[in-house]
Amino acid sequence: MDFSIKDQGDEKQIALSGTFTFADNKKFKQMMAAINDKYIKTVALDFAAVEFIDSGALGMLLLFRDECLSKHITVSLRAAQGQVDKIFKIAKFDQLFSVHGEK
Amino acid sequence: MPFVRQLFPDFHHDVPILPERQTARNSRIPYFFLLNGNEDLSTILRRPYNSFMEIGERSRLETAITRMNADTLDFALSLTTESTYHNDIAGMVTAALHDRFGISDALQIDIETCLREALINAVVHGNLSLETCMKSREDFEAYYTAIEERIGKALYKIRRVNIAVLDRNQHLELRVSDEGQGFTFDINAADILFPHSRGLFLIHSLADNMWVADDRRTLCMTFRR
Repeated sequence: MDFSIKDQGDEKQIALSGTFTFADNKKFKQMMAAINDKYIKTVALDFAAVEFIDSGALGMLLLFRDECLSKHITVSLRAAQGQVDKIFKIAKFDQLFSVHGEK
Repeated sequence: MPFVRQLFPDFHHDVPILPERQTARNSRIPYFFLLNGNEDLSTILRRPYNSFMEIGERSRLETAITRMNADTLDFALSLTTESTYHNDIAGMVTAALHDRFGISDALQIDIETCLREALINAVVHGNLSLETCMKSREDFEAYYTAIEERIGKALYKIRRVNIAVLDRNQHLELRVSDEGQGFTFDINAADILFPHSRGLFLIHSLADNMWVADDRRTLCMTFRR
């Protein structure tokens, strides 16, 4: 998994790409560091370029959500496609995150 | 199997592991390999064999061979825990299943998702004997630190992970076995929000059927074709 970060006002936009799996724990730790900015109110995770996700990644996203909630930051998941969208639906992530089909 | 004999001169297990039905069909003879960089696993899996066996620790090899011959398997792969952990086995195996059994692209993705979960389960919870309980960032750090420590220890990394596939015409049956203490799964007590068993929850959602066998060390899954 790779990711890039863009600031848009008080929103942090993180675009992920590739496969996001159990093995991406080190990249995930780097991603977590992005929310240490005290001025952000929302984080948008863009999954448009993510092809595959597993339960390890779901666990990391739940940790990311908890970490953001503790800092009063809301998290949205955007543009999930194919297998990623299917796994988010199975996991009922729409009940836990703000989920948007578009970017 | 001259290659195995070169590595292990005392290896005499070839006669009992190749019963007559197998010597009559060369495809039943396992292809033995070393993952040493000369040939990658996806290339190896394209060879005209049905079963593939990484040569690992001598003491584990015979048990693995016996397991691979326990049934009439249409595809089998036996690896060390270390190789299973460090390679994209689920991706390479499902690509091989796509070529061999003509499964659809959609089914290939579902199988890859489930196989990846089953392999992580076999490696981490089975052969490395670790529990998942990621309730906090500290748990997360401790979990991955424990995995990195154990995957480097001979006691754990030589244990085998076996993948077996049976073509049942209407569906494919996949079995993933490890050498751990065994596990249980109760769908009525599972939820994606729980800090454990998320992978098994996904398998239960995507496979047509799943169950645990072989003293709770084998996870079986079926997929309608």
